[in-house]
Amino acid sequence: MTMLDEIDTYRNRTPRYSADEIQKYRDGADPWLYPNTDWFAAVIKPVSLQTRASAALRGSSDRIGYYLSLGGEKEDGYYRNSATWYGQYNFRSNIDGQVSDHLALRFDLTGRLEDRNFPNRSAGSIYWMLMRGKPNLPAYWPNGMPGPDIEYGDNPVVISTKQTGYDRDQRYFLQGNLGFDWKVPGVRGLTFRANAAYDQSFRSEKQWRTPWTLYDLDRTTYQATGQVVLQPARRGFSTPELQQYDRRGTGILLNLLGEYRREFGPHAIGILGGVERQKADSSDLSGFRKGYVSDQIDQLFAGGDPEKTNGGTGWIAARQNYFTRLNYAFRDKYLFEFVARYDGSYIFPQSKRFGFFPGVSAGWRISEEPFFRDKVPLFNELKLRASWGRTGNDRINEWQYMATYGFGGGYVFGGTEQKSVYQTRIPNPNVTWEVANQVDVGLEGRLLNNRLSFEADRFHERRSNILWYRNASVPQTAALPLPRENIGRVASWGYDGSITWRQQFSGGVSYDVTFNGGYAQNKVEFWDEAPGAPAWQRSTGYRMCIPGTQACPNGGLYYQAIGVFKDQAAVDAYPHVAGARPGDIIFADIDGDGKITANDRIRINKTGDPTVTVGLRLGAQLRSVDVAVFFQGAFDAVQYWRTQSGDIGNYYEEFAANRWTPEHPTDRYPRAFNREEEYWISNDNTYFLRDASYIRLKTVEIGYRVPSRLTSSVRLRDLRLYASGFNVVTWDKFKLLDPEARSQNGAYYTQQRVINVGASVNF
Amino acid sequence: MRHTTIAAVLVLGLTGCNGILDVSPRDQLSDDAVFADPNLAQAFVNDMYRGMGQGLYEIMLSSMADETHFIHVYQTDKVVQARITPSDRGALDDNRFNHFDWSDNYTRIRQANTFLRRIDSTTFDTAWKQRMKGEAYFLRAYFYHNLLRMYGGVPLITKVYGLNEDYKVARNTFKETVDFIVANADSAAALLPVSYSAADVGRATKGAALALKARVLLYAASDLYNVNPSGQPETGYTGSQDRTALWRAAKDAAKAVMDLGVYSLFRPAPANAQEAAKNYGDLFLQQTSEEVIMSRQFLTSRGWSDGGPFGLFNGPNGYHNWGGNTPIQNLIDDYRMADGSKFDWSNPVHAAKPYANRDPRFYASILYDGAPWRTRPTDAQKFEPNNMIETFRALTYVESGTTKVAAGLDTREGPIEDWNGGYSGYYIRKFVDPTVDHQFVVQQVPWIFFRYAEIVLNYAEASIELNELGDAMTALNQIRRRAGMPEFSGLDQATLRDESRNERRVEMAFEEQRFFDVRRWMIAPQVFSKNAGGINIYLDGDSPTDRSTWRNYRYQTYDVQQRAWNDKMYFMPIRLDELNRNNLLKQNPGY
Repeated sequence: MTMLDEIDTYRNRTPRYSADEIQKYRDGADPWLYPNTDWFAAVIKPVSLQTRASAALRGSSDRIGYYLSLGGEKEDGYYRNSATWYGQYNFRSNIDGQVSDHLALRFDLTGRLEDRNFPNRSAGSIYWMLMRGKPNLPAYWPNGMPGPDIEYGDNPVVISTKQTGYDRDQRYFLQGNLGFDWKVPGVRGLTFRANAAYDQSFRSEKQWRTPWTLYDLDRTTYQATGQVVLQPARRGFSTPELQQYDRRGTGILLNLLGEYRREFGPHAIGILGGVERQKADSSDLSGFRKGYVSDQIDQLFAGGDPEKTNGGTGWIAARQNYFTRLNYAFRDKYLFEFVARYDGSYIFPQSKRFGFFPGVSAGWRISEEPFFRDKVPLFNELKLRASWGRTGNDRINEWQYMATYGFGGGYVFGGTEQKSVYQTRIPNPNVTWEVANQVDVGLEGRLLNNRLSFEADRFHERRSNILWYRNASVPQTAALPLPRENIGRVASWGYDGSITWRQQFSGGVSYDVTFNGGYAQNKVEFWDEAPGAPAWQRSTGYRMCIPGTQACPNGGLYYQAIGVFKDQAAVDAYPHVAGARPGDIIFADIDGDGKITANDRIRINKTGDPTVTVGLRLGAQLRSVDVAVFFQGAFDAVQYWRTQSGDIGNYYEEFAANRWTPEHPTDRYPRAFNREEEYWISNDNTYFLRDASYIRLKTVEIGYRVPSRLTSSVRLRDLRLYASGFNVVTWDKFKLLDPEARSQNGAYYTQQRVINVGASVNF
Repeated sequence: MRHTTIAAVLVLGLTGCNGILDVSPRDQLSDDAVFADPNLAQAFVNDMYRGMGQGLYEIMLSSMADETHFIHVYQTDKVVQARITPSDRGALDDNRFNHFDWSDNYTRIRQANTFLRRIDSTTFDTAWKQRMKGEAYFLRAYFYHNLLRMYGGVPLITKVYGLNEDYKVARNTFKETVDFIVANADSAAALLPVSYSAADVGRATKGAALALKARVLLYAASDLYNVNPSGQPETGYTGSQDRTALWRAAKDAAKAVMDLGVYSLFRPAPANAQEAAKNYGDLFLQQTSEEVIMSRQFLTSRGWSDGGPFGLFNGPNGYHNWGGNTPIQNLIDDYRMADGSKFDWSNPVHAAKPYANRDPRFYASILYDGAPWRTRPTDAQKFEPNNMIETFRALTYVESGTTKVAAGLDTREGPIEDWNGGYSGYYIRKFVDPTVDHQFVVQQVPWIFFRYAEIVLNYAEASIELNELGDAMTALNQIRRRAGMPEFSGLDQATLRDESRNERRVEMAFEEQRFFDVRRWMIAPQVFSKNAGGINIYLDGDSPTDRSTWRNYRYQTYDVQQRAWNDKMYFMPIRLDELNRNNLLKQNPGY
């Protein structure tokens, strides 16, 4: 409230809260007129439960093997009286049969039901209201009725519950596999394998949206007589509404391959070749009605006629691949492999449909060389390997080679809606596969009686023919609805490695330590940048940063914040945005022209993706007890924070505690602001860009295997009890939110810290 | 052997046809399909209409002129403070102003060019072909006229580009652009019908094409493009021009619309001031009328897809609406008194009751403190049970011995959604359907592109400049009569010009006219440099809800927003990215 008063003063208006009003809120003497609400505590439970269970039956006889399993899990949402919860139920039935000495068949069937349940406001809305909920608004009145909304009818204690109706999304998946392995009689080492997979999925989503009631206090009556009168108001939707969506999807995957493996003396060869075909399609149907007279019957037929609507569409995709692999090994010491794929995709036009993607690799097991084995007995295993490969990517928008028209937004003539059609793109008849060439060199080995093992790789990848729009260089007067053309090039490179130490003692005691880490960087070599931008803003030659993506929401260009204007003298002394005043952030004048313009933005060569990732695992076994701990760290990522503050919401405590005020001026922290009214809020700058590096204790698990003398008496073969935790502790510099959040304003469903206890039993 | 046969069959089956990869999209149409089917060709024309945009989006052009102040800013401040640059054009870069945007208009122009190129070779019914061609010519002229108003002379593209061509093109001159638009409007008028059957209302008509021509010729005759301060051919005429001929052309074009005999003012003769106010308000709520030459209709069932709920965007916060574009004192002061005299704060009678006895259009266009309006939502009724707008800054009353101060419900100090409260003390009433609860329902009020009143005002303006004052007064008096205001007589050219400009301001408030009018009359340095004003109202009473005890009103104007003018703002800058792509383009002066 003090900060809102400050905003009023900055705008030459009378401050809205008087000093003794603020005092009354602090005292909390009258919770009806001066509430004091901790919104997060009111909405979010300290603990939410999740349960998981599964059972499996496995066995085999001479000719038949089987595996059956059933499982289920249920996970509760974070909110009190949560309408959000997730359930999943699955089964699997695998049968392997040996039909003859040469022919083995398998038939696998698996299915699962994913049951998602939500209220009719998104997690983003709920968290947005939590971030904005001012402490002087009541979540509940002292008599337990819900308080008024923050905006749009949203009071987060209500919109996270079933009072908004329900949104139930049930997805069924049925996947079947039928395959055979046939050892060709008479030809030793030759096998044929075939597999047919058929997947069917169904999705059924039902959103039943009902208005909810919020209450506001009749202040006049309360102040006059002390009597509490709460006025109800129906919010959210004007009448109950129902939206239903049903989707069916089918996928078929067929493959056939033949393999020949043989050893001739010191030579071992393997040849494999095969073909694969994939087809997928889907169709969906949706319906909507509103104007229900009551919320008792949640079916479409009971809805009103005005504004009812329906929709539906379909989709199809197909791919065909041919592949081969050739292996050669000499004395298991020199290893060579060649792989090649010839892939065809429906995405490309007939003449450009197929792409050829080969790869070679070679390995040298240095430890098998006689001179090495004698001279350096330290190594149990040392292998040097190198590979080069090319792969293709077809995951782009479909139909770029067809001149197509799509249905537009429509237009209203004579009081009725008429369809409209527009050209979606000019065709690019040459669109084809994106290509990535990757080179990798690695060294791996084990020493000291296999106690120490390590692996290290260096890789370099260049992706070219990246399908990108050439609109940075085509003027808008041509108005071309451009297709994607194969023009982009990006290079990425890095290092990767791990090192492990394992030690075993007698009596069932052992421990292991593994450290792994990697560094990955990338650079855009070409993507049709608009000429004419100043050199320090160019994106070609820098880290890939596609504006609008999660890793790079602001496009990578920022004004550089170099401090805060402490007083008017500081403002007058440096080029500033017109209208800047004490307490505003100073933007650096990069091009030195004495003015702050768009050309003063610089490119920050970091995104939300870290370049360095590390992990550390510590494990130990002490007879019946096993312990495992895993740390994860990520560095060199940045995250922008931007809250909705001012009249519309709260400030971070850290911001409020340090801010500039006329009584306590500082040259490091800016003053209270309202929404986007200050130039240093509406223009991205480095003040709000913070290092998102972190180290996290990711998992901890402790298990106890009950000794067999105890379990055998109850006919159990094996019983293990365990407790584990995920995301237990985090150390980071970002401090304001989870550093992995990728959210600028905190309006997202947060990651969880999970503590599990469980048991696994074998009969 | 059996096994080998099976294997062989499988291999053949899988490798045989790569034809599996020949699939066609299930949700898109091919090029040939569209121009073989007249319904699809019609649908192609329908899409172009979307490029005309509308003026009832959340941000209105009036907030960048001296009509309203947009509470939530959304970078309108950059425009009204003349701080826009070719890299950052403030609110003008918002997609709600796509219909004025360079890129979007050229996309639409391409649609028109594609259509005109293909339509002649189709086998459709001739009458239908001609009508659709007329629509395409009109739409192309309309898109170019929006470009003209914003930028001046622009590249005139009539070809349809393909891949790998030379795209660099220079701007045509202002004169060439005007002549091109007029030629397209004439072609359209020759092909279009005078009116449509009910199912096609909203399509371009002969009258719409002539109205567009009249507007463009009036603009071309105006001061800005003839004085042409920068002297460049893209921003106006160079060399000597016969102003009289230009004004004559403008007057004749307006007369051509009047002579169609199809349009007239809606309810032109009200019995009294109340009826005049109601009629004026109702004009905008009709789905169509004899005054509408061309408009865009909306359907509640289409939700927000055509723009969104205007009533929600601009209603008072005390109705759980968003405030939005709030009228400013600058506009309020320009509404005349009911007897035709100017409003004057130094006149104690006016200052004591500034909302009494004003131009009837004031009551139909503006919600002001004390204006009766819709029933309040249930949770607001305890604060304000009278269903009247409350924008006073401070009501001082005594309750159980203590002096208390209450702020109006519809202000930023009010108890409901204060961040949606206005600063100026006014809200828009024009275009808002009073029968609809805007929190939940999207209203179906159309946006009018051309109406007969504009033609009459155009005719009057051209007549004044030709010193044919009799014609001018006859025309203006039709507007005055319909508005319930006293008629003009015996005025000289200078006074009549001022009155006619004020008439246009008031009659066409919030209709995307003022932004351009002030520029073409070159009065922007005086008018757009004034700060946006609001009203502070103070009063006393005995209770915050019993209006009968309220007394002692004191009114005080104050500045709501700083504004400034710079002559570069006569034209909008072409975006820097576009200049980088096409170095033949010349930027507008001052940027």
